[in-house]
Amino acid sequence: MGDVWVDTAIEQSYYQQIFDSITDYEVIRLDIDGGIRSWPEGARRMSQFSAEEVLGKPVTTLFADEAAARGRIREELRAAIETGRCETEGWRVRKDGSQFWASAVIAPITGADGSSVGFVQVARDVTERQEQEFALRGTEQMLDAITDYAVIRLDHDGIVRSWSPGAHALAQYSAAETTGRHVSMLYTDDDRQTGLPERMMTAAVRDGRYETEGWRVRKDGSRFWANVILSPIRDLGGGVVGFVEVTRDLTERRDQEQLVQRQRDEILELSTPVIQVWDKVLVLPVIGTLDSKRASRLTEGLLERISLDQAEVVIVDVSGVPAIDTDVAQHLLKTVEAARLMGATSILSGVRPETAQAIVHLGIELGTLRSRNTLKDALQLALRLLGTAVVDEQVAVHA
Amino acid sequence: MVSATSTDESTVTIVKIDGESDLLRVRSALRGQAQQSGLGLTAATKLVTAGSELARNIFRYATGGEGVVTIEPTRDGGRSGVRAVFADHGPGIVDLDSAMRDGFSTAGSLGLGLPGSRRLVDEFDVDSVPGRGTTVVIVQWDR
Amino acid sequence: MREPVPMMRMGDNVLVTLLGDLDDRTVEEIEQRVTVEVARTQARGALIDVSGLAVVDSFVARVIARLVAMIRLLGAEATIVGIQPAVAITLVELGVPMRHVHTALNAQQGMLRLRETQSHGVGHLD
Repeated sequence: MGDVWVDTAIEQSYYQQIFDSITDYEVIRLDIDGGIRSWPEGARRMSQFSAEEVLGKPVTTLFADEAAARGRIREELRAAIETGRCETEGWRVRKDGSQFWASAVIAPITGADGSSVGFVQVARDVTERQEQEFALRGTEQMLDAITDYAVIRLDHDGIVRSWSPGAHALAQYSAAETTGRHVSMLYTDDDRQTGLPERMMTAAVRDGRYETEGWRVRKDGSRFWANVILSPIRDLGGGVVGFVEVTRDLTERRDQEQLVQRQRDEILELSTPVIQVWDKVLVLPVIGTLDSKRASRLTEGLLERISLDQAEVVIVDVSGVPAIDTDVAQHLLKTVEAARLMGATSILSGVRPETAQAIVHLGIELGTLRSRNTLKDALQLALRLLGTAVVDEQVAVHA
Repeated sequence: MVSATSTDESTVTIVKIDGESDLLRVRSALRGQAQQSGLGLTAATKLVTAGSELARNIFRYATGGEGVVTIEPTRDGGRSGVRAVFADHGPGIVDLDSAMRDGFSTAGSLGLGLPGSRRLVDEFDVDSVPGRGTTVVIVQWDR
Repeated sequence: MREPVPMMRMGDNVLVTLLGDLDDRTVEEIEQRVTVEVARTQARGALIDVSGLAVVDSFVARVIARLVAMIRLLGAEATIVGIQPAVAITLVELGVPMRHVHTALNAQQGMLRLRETQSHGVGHLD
C-alpha cells in the first residue's frame, strides 16, 4: 500500500507547523484505512503516547475498547466520506492506562481528483463535561419527574418487569401490554435485527451504565428520538439481576439542535478548517481542489470566523492545492477581497516554485496581496503587521 | 403597489414599480420569500441584492419607470428556491452582449446591474426586444 | 421623524451610521449632513458604519464611495466598518470596485486604525 501523500504532494512539515501550534486539541491525519499518519504535540499531550508508539498503527488503538472501536471505524470513515464529517464520542485510553471521554470529528481529505485520500481527526477531551452530564442525569433520575421520563425495570434477559406511568405516556403502551414482553418491542426493526438491546445490556453490565440516543417506536408505530440510560441492578453478590432503563423523548430538542447545527455546518465546514493560530490571526488551509461550491463555503466559513474571532490577519495557505489554475486563483482573490472588506489583511503562504510560475504564467494579478513561501514566514509577517513584539520559539527563524 | 395571491401553499407576490419606494417592497418580498424557501443567509443576500439591481434598472430606465416584479417560490426535485421576474415595457436593450459586460453603461452608473446580478444568482435569463421591453428571470436555490 | 443619519463625535473623529433603505432623497440629505458635520468639527477621520445594512447594492455602494470622496476632499480620512460577511461576499461577486476604500471589522477596530494613521501616518496593516 503506497503512501498517497507523496502523490498529492502534501508535505508532512506543512501539517506539523499548523498542528504544532494547537496544543489542547488532538488533530491527526489518518490514511484511507484509518492508520495514524501524523502525531503532533496536541495529540501527544492528550494521550501521552509518543509518535513512535502510534504512527502507522490503526486509530482504533487509541480507544479503551479497541474491539468495539474496530467494529465502528469502517462505518465512521465511510460516513465521513459520504456526508463530509462524522462525529463520534467514546472512551479513549492514555499511555498510563487512564481513560478519558473524547469528542471527535472525522473529515475526509480529498486529493487532486476529488477522491478521498485520507482523513483528519480533530478530538477533544470532554471528560469533565461528560462527568457533569452524568451527575446531572443521576440527579434527574432521582427527581420524581415521572411523566417526563419513562422508567422501566427489566430482568436480566431484558423482559419488562415494571412499567412507569411516564413510560405509558411516552410509548403509549400500558403496563399490561408490556410486562412480560422483551424490551426490544420499543426498538426499531433495524435495531432489533442488529441486536442493539442486547449490546446495550452487555455494555451496561461491563461499564456500569450505558447511555445512548436513538430512535424508539411507540405503540402506534410512530418514532421518537430518545435519550436512554441503562443501568444494571446487582444483588449482594454482585451478580446482575436486572436493569433499569430511563428513557426521555428528545425529538423536539433534536429537531432544534439539528436546525442550529445544519445552519452552522452550512457555514463552518470542517473539511476546510479555519484555525486560529494566534490572537487575531487565522489560517485557512486550502486543501485539494476548489470547485465553485466548495470555494463559496470556504469563503463563508472564513468570513464568519473573522467576525467571531475579530481577526485582523488571515493566512491563506495553498501548499495543499495541487495546481493553481485561473478559477482557483479567482476564488482565492475573491475570498481575499471579501476578507479585506471586513477589515482583515490576507497573506498567501505555501506558494511553491511551480505555483509562483503558474500564477505569473496565467497572468494573474495578485496586486497588493503579500505572499510567503512557508507558513512560518507568513506567521512572522502576520505578527509583525499586528505589531506584536512577542518572540515565540514556534515562529523564531531557525539559524 | 403590492398584491399577493395564494394558490394552495404558494404565494405569488407582485410589485408594480411606480416609484422609488417600490424598490424597498421588492427587497422585502424577496427577503421574505428567501426565508420561506429556506435559503441560507449568503444566498438570500445575493438574491435580494440582484433583485434590487434589476428593480432599480426598471425604475431608472424603463418608460415612466413602470414595470412589474413577480416573486414566487419554486421547487425542483429536492431543492426549493425563489423565482423572480422583472418585466418592463421600457426601451429594451439594443446591444445585449455589451450590456452583459461589466462596466458598460449608457447612463453613467457603474454599469454592473445586469452582469453583476447574473453572477449573484443560480439561474439568469434575459429577454429583450428593443422598443418593446425587457424581461429578466432569476432563480436562487437553497442548495 | 427619525434622524436620517445618526452621527457621533469621538475625539477627532466622527462616527456616521447608515441605516435602512436609502433612496435618492435621503442620500442627498445624508451627504449634506455628513459633509457639514465633518467640516464643522474639523474631524480628522470618519467612520462609516454599515453594520445595519443587510443589503448593499451598487446604488448604495456608490453612495458610500461618494461619501468617502467627499470626506477626503474635506481633509479627513474615511473608513468603512461593519460590512457583514454575506454583504462582503455579495459586493465582491457583484464586482463593485472597493479597492481604495479603507475598511475595518467594527467601529472599535476602525477607531484604532484611524488613530494609528493619524499619529504615525500609516496604519499597521497597510
